[in-house]
Amino acid sequence: MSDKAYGRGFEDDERAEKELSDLMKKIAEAIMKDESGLSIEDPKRLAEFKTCYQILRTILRGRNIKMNAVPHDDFPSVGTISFEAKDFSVTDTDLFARACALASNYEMYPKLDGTIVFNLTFYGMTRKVDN
Amino acid sequence: MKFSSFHVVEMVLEDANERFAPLFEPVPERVDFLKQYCEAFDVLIDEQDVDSFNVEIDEINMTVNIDLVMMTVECSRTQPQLGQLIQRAMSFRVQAEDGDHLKLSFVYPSLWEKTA
Repeated sequence: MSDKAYGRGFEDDERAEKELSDLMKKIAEAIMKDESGLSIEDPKRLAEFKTCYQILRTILRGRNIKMNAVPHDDFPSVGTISFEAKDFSVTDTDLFARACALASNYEMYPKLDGTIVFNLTFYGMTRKVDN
Repeated sequence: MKFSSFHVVEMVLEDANERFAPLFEPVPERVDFLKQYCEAFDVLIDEQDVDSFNVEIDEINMTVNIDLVMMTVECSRTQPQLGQLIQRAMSFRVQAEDGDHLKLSFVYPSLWEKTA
């Protein structure tokens, strides 16, 4: 005879959605708590962010590439550099790779209109001030 | 059997060696470097869910051209392989492929030199 008991049935969509929504709220609260309070810019991280932007702007200059660098709207400790292009190529590969390595992470994906999006995310742009 | 990108590269190289002989011969040290790059490609292929891996030899420039096709690329600081592979390439290109995929193209220097 099997040791397994009827402990858990299938979850319906409504319940699964509610659980997911509750989980997202908890994550948002945890992030907001982490972001709240007094914090100042981390000069080293800010310099890395600016350096990465300058390098990419120099390497990709003169091409049909949309590029921007912004702090995250809701989370001041996060900065993003992103660019969009039909395609892009680099010959200064060493510099390009070093610039990408400054980011906490980076991602690339294609959009439906045939362009490519390249996002570089920088965490730790601000540092908390302890009271 | 686990996929090894160097097995694919080796087959392409054998073919190219025959075509370039007797005027050119492969430099073993350069092939060793390419083997190391392939080890990094293997890690990248596992991590990034790569759909295809393609190797070609440019017969005019004698460069080794490697293409990867995948849906997305996501790398963190703990996954340095892509950056290291870009750094060692002569050029790196990203294009959209079939509307919903990315094609990453790496061009590596020639493995051959003129026979003495």
